[in-house]
Amino acid sequence: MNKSKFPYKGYCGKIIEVDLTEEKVEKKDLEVEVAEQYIGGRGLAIRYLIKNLKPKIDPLGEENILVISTGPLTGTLAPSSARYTIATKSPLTGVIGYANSGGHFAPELKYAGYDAIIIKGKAKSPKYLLIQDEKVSIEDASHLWGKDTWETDKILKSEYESSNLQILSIGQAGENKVLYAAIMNNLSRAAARTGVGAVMGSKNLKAIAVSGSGFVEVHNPEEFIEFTNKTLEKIYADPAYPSLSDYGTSFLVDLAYLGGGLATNNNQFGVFDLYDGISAETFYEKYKVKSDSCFACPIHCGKYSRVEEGKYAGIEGGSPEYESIVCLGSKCGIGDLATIIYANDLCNRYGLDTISLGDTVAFAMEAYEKGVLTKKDTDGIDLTWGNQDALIELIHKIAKREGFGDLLADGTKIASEKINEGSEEYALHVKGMEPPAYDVRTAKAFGLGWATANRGADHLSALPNFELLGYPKEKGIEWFGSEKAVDPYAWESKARMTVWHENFGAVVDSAEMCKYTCFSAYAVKPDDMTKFLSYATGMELTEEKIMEIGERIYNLERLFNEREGKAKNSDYLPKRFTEEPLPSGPAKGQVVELDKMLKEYYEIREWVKGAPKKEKLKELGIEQFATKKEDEK
Amino acid sequence: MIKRIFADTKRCNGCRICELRCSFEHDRVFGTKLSRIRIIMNEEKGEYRPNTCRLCYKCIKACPENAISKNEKTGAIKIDHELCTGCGKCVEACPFNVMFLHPIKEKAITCDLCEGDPQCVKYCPEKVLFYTTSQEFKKLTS
Repeated sequence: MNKSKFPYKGYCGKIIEVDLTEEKVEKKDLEVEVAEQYIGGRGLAIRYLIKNLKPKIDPLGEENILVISTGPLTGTLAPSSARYTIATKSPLTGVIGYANSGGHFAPELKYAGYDAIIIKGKAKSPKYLLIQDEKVSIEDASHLWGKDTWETDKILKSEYESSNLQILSIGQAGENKVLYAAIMNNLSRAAARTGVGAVMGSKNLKAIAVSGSGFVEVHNPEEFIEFTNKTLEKIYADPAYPSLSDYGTSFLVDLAYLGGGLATNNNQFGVFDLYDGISAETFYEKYKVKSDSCFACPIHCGKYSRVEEGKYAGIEGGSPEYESIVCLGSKCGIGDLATIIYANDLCNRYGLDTISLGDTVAFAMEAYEKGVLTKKDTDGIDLTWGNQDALIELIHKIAKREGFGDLLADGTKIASEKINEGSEEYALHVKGMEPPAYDVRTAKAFGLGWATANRGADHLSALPNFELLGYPKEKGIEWFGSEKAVDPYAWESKARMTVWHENFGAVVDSAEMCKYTCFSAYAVKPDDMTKFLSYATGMELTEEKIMEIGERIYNLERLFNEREGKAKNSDYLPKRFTEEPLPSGPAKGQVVELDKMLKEYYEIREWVKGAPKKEKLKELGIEQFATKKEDEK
Repeated sequence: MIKRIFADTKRCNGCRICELRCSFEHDRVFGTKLSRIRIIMNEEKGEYRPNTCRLCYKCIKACPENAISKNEKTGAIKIDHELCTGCGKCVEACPFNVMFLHPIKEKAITCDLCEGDPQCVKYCPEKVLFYTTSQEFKKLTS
């Protein structure tokens, strides 16, 4: 196996560049400066896109680029580090789009010898990319087109039986360019958000299959393994470990319920009458079969589930996560886990983002409740809250862009603009992307984080779990200078908390470690990450240096948005969260005090109305990417 | 009584930490195809089965170079890489598909029980793997 001469360990030092228009594959060296300034993963992706994409291009046109990137820890024993980022210009939002997924794909790519894959152009007919160590080829996928992600996975594996392929693919939703189509790997792992699957579909690229027989080497194996073992002890000792390990993310349904923020009926309420039907206990007792882990993860929050009775008896597979349970469930008034498991299964096979899908259906249900939509508009489907069959029927129609499904396939923002009649008021989105599960009126840092996330309403950009974990007041003072930091309903100190999480989160996504290791147990903090990265790569890093890298990545993504004319005055929340107090439950009366937090946030970031100041860019060494006046027009 | 590696397969979650521990223990790098234990994955059913040497010793007879022997202390397979030519006869002879050719060294590799302290067993997060006798294992999982 040829190991490259890349000066840092942990990396392969090679990236694959594919031009689908020209049907050409090239292997290029990873730039040393990119590794030093951006680490890899999400950082590598934004650096590549801002340099190589022209502003204002059509996201579904030939000019758009997909970057699939791993981190220097990917493929090692660093806990939960087997993730990858897929980034592009989002067709859903028109700004930076990226999604992140676990499973087993990313380490396999590293073992084949590559840090990243760049996909350019558009194939004339359906293709898939095949990577077997040094051998990289563009193959005919006409027999796969029209197949769902599970079928695609099965067919490709049967064609290359001996080679243990890891596969990412799109389903029919990506082929039909549903604006929130996902890219799936390992059947139930989704790079779900911002419509990355639609971009893959627009390029006629059905799948990427990889097998690798190589390895990842770290700079200091003894220190690395010792520190890994120490971190594992911390993870296992964390009080939240049993919940995540046994119940998976379904335990968050209970946390949201207790705080009065269990999003119900398109976020009209934070209390759900049918909570018992979707609770963690119900999931655990009736549906969970076992754990189903990502590669190299000690937490294994992923679960495998099966429906034993009723009309969906026999449906089994990777379980719906918390986000899917709420967005496909309580947001649509549905309190039946069997239906949610089936809906989630369909989304996985079609390749759909369960968050945007569920939210768009919930939006349509509210429009139906208000009489703005009637059966005449919905192909005769009764969109009453809680109608389980309606959800299932709509998933099929949306994936295929059939009838009423075609309207919903563009997401809430575009759908509401077409429906009109005041529906914009309850079309919930930020920058065009539908919001995640937690009702942020009960978690204010999360609220700010949705507004300021570069890719639109996004819980993972900041993921400020700190405010939710019931920490003592002293810890709030120690970390963020205020005892209010541990009170989820308080807005004070949340700007500082959000900036810190966003910056460190960008580092975590670039090292490609899972945020659950970093922001759930806080088992890997910046000084720990510094150690992991130093021991793995041999770079001379400090805590300050890696936090600056995070800030650099965050600002560069913001510049991407700015040159699309979508940075200034774009950090908002739907009025439902800022002006409509929660009507009942433990959080009755709560709204998000966004303006107060945003003012502080911009001061800390040194941004004006959402756009970075020149001095800030200089300080971060990215002034060459400053937005030119002509770009913004 | 000889001790072997057993797996309570129903609970294996497929994280493959055992594979990484194995490759690190033997090569100080991370690669699943350098591992002597491999998880056979059926993702559709959520079934994962750790697979490693059962100590049947068929490889010893199959080796034309007399490179394979039995570790007297642990009973594990011992392969002399000075003698091994990488011909692959032992790989063919292995009924459990747990004899491999090392992709870099191109020599035969299989589980050596880490001199009696198997790292895969030690670090399995679900405690699915056991290094014990068959009778003990039966007791533990019944």
